Amino acid sequence: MQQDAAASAALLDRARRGEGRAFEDLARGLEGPLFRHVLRILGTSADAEDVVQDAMVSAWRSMSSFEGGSFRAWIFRIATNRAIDVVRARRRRGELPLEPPEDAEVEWAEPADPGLEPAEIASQAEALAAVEEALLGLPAEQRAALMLRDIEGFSYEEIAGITAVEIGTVKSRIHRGRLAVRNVLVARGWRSSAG
Amino acid sequence: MNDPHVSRDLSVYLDAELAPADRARVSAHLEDCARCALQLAELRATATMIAALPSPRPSRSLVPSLAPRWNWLRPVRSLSAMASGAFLMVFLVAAVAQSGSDLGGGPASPFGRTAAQPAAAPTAAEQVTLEAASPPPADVRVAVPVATAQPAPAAGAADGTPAAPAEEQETEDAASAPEERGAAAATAVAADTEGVRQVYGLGSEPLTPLVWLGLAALAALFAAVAHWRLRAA
Repeated sequence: MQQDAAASAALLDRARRGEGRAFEDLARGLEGPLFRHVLRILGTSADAEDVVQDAMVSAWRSMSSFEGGSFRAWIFRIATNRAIDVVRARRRRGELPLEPPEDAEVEWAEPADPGLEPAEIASQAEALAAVEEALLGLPAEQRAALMLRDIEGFSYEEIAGITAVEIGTVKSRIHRGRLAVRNVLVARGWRSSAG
Repeated sequence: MNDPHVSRDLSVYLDAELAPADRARVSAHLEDCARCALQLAELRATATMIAALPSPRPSRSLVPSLAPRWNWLRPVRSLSAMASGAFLMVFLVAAVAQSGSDLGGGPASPFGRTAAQPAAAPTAAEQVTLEAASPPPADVRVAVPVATAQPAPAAGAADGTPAAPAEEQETEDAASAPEERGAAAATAVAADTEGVRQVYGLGSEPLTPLVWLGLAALAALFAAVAHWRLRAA
């Protein structure tokens, strides 16, 4: 683990000095995570590929302005911002429906019927498809924050830096997003075994 | 305001992002509140499902090509191009030299002899016949010794045969003046050819021009492949 960190630090140092191959190595390790993250913000593979590629080129050109810290968080910030810009542009052109207000209150929906346990749900493709669908129904910023936490494992502070908002906003987005996904699953008849 | 439950703090609690004092407060509440404990379990299960989503892969590489991977091909391309030109020049010189020695009725092959069949070996008493251009009595042929101008020890000497000057031989009695001029010209060409061969190292066992042409083509092929690979990179 420490060796990996040291190797990444050495690569980052070389990339900051303008060594293209070092940047490529760094970027290659983040290609998959960046793509899945941007894909879930945009919803289409072709757009996600373009945005990630643009983000990588932009990151390379901006290496001189990288001030240190987490390179992963830095490049995620570039990609996330670009992806959200694309969503907003689509919305302005009327290609996407208006999102629910981000600050709309989300209540705890009561289960209609006793259903499957979450552990069982997680093993089912249908349940995962329901989660994907529920994520797509969230406002883009909320969706981005939730995925940065639950899929990419960033801390709240890092998410605040990536999305350029206060930590309080991050807490709110993550909680509301999770609750909305939970409500979709409950509406499909699933409930926790403790209930 | 007077809500005793901790629903709003559950995600932050789950993610271990609460301040220690708040964490202790929520933990204490969860011990006594089944409803909040259930909600926490549901949020945990939801987060687990989100984390379990599949990771789609891009259909192509999204990493920009920044490193010049094929730089080492640049000198190869340049050297190959230069070698191609050099071989082509040698081919032309060799072809001219060869055809010069074959003037007028040599062997049918355009480039005459091979290294194993030296064109200018004087000791073999090889004769190059020259058809007189004008006037053309078709049946008049004059034998011209090739190496009278510059005898050189060669294949003949190698096998022990003394290098004797080639003897002049008339195959037909034709002593008219134009024919003599033709014979003299052929002798001069042969002498020049031999000089060229020595200058270009073709010496007594020259490579056939076709070999030089092949080398030129090969070097050009290397240069083209290197160029194509560099452009593709």
